[in-house]
Amino acid sequence: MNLAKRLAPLVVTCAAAGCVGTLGGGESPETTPGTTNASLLAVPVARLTTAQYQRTLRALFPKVTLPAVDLPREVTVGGFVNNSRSQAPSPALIEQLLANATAVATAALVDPTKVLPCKASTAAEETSCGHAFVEDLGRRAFRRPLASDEIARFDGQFDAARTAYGFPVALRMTIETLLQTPQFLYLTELGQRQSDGRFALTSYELASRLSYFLWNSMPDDALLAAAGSGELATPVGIEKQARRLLADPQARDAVATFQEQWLRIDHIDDLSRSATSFPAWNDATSPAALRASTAAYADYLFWDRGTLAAYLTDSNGFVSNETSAFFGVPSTSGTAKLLPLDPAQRSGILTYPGLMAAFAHSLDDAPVQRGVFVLDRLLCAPTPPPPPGVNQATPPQGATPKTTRERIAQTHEQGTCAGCHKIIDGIGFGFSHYDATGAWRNTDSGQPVDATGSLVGTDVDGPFDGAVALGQKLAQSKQVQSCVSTQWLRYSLGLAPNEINKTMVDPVTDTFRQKGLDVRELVVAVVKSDAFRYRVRNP
Amino acid sequence: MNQGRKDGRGEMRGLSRRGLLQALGIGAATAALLPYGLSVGSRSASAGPVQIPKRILFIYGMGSIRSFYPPVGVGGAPASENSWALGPLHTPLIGMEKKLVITNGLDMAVNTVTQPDAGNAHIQGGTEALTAAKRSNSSLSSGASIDQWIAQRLNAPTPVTKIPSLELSAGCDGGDAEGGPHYIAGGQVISAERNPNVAFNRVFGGFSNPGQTPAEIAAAQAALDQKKSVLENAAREFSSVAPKLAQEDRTKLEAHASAIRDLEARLALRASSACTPPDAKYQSDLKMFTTPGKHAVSDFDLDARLVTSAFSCDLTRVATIHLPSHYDLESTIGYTGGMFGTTDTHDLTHKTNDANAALWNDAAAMAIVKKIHLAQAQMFRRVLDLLDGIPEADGTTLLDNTAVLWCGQIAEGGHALTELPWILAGGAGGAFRTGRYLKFDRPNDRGPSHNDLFVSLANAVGVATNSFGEASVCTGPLRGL
Repeated sequence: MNLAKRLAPLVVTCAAAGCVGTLGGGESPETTPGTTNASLLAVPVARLTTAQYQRTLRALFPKVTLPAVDLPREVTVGGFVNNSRSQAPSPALIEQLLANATAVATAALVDPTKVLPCKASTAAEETSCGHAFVEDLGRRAFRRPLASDEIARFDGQFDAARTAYGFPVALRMTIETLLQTPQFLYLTELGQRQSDGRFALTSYELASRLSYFLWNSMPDDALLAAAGSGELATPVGIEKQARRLLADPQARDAVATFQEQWLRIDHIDDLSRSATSFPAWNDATSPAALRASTAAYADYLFWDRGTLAAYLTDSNGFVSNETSAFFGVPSTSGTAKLLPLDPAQRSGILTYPGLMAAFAHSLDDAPVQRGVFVLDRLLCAPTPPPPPGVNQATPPQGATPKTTRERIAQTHEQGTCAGCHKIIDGIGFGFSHYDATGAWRNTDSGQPVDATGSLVGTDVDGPFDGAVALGQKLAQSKQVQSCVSTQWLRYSLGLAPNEINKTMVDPVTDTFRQKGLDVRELVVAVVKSDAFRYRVRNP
Repeated sequence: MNQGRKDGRGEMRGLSRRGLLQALGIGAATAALLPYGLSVGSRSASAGPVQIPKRILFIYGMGSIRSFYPPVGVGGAPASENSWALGPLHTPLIGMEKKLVITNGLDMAVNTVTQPDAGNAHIQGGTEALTAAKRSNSSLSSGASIDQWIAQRLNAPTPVTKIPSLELSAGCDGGDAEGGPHYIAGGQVISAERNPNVAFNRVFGGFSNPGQTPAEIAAAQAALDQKKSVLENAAREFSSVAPKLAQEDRTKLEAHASAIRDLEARLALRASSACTPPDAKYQSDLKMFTTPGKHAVSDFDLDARLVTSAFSCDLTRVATIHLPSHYDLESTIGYTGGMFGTTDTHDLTHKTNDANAALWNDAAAMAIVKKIHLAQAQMFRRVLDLLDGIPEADGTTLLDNTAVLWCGQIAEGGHALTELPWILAGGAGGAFRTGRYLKFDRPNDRGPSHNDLFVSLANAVGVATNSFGEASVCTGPLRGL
């Protein structure tokens, strides 16, 4: 089940003012008045996400088969699950971290030779090897060499545990402890104070930020070595490592994780469609096939195409036998294949069947959800929700069949509803050619489709006919360029929409433009930006 | 990685009832003779009159249909405080009237003063329903939720139960939007557990058999000592790192460290002497869970049984169960997409919301939508029956010592946050008089704030306060309760 499915599509009567003809939910960096644009905003250090935690554990013990470990379900803030301010140390999380540490340590020590950097056959060797283990595992778990006081504490704890319980238990307790420390669980960032009051991240801190952003996992030895040699002290050095990480297969999962949340691919989940209206649809197989196709397409756009324009105007799709009907091409056997689609009907991610289906109901398309998707994810200008007490049901079909558009347009134009809905529906109605499965249609309820729309309150305002034309307009929009930068930067730093501002975003967007709006260059621009390399702190 | 894992979260799966009883320190033979038999619980030995703990349970869902929510009158008279009969959506509760307080007219008054706008209409209520506080951004509340706030105070200065509070969800949290309703502090959201196996393991797992022989007893003690030592060492690292960091970081890490120390103190807490652990049927029913939402009604039942056991064993005193949403109940009520020209049950609930709604006069559609509410009332009844089925040492029942609040994220199908259809059950140990219909005056169309109700609930379970949540809309304990 997904959120989009339950965002009510319609307003019948309105009671209070929402939008008054201008865009913005008050949190867009482009439109927010009164926020400080002078500096970075102070936000708390990030804790590893569940995916980062799981990958890091596997990377820490590469020779060991670990049990699958999990953490309590993460919450979504502003579309992303990594918001650092909302990460709560709930009792359930703390309990689970203990249980996981025990499970991982126990599995790692089934054959200690797979984790120990040394042999320990005598009492003296047990002590020296234990201490070597502390430094070796500690360096990787903390993603930097241990400080001397840390070595002293962990060695002391190891010695005490060995005396009390013996060598194997002491090893286990060492692993269990390290896996529950803040140095492991958090990107603890001290930085170095600069003359302007900002704190520059240390090379090791940058290495972690880079690696968790681009790999969703801990730094490898080469990255730690680069940090140790001072290579990451300059933007040039950062760029070199960033390009190395991006060229590694681990980057593919990390980019996919971002795109899945940014483009709401995670909302293609458990969709149910009327069997009579949509005979090609199968509740059991279509959602998963569409989700896989959309994820593959997002990968393709990033890795094989790379330009922002491709996201908005490309006309290819990953088509399989399960999904061919929704793409409007002949069925194809075997695994999903990249096929050209009708460029008059398809326009990149905008019209992709998986997302069109995610923003629809069991019978009808959902113009409001589609409009909100574009406003929130591509223009960074979310509209506020309707006021409480407003009945949002779609008016049903009457004696004369009407299109979805006809049924909702009239009520949306009433009173104070019109302010927001002029903006939302102006975009959403442009998608009227796509039914609730994402398939192209020329008629809706027997009536010809009217897919004319208009952009209001953007830098590319004006009328358009259909989503392909909308894609062309958005591809020219500087606001879209800035929004895509904002989404990447927000995700890279775990920020909520109101925790980012123009000063942080604009330099990244400038580079993005200079690099021909190549999203891979955007990612490099993110890691070279001040927002990525510096922190501010309140005293 | 949600289901069927063989990991730290699932290790108790398949544990036999005998094993469970032994782990709890309740001999299987003894337990067979004495269903609520003696255990080795650390709090069982105290002499003197039995102190029965007060518990609080939130049953969290959506809203109701305003026209059908209020109780009806008896014998031709309008419903009054002490003379009323349950309305048409609440017939499954018939027979329970004496243990209910039907409220009518409370508002989420904080919604009239909060900013900024929520991301959508469901986030609006979701951020306010249990926190009664303003939002700090479009997704997050600025305050702790009442369940967490009470749990933190009941377990201070030192923990009194193994689990401070349980947050369980049957189904998919329909419409819960981004963070959901539970906050341990402003901005700090926690999710509800959807997998009953994980929940069971959290409550009844982790107990080690205290052992019989001196060697076994020593080994069990050593295992506990090692865990405590590991936690203490980890917490010490937080103390070492935090002072070097900025204020925001420090606050975040200190909260984590404090949660570790709290767990350290909770490790030794065990079940109370009066303890009804889940039975064998429960453990076999756990296998019915597949994925969230697939068997939402039986998932709810598992959650309800787990909470009842957890309360009875004093393993927690605060819990929330999220009711299955209308989506999760589609097969239960016999709805399929397209019926009545509706796209889904979401659409259906909007179209049957009030007399202006499109399907109000469609008897078949209204019958189906009522089934959603009746199914939820049936689940609420099930919880009350379970709680009422556990006798306490003084002859009362677990329900009599629990405050149960059936609450939700919105009041009705138009996402209104006023005139909340919230029902109280149980007496919280005599803290409030039940068997009543509490209809509040609404001068200027405004009723008492739900902040006031939460003040009363906190007081009822022994947490003294005069204010909760947004102070500007809170006047103190709810008048009339």
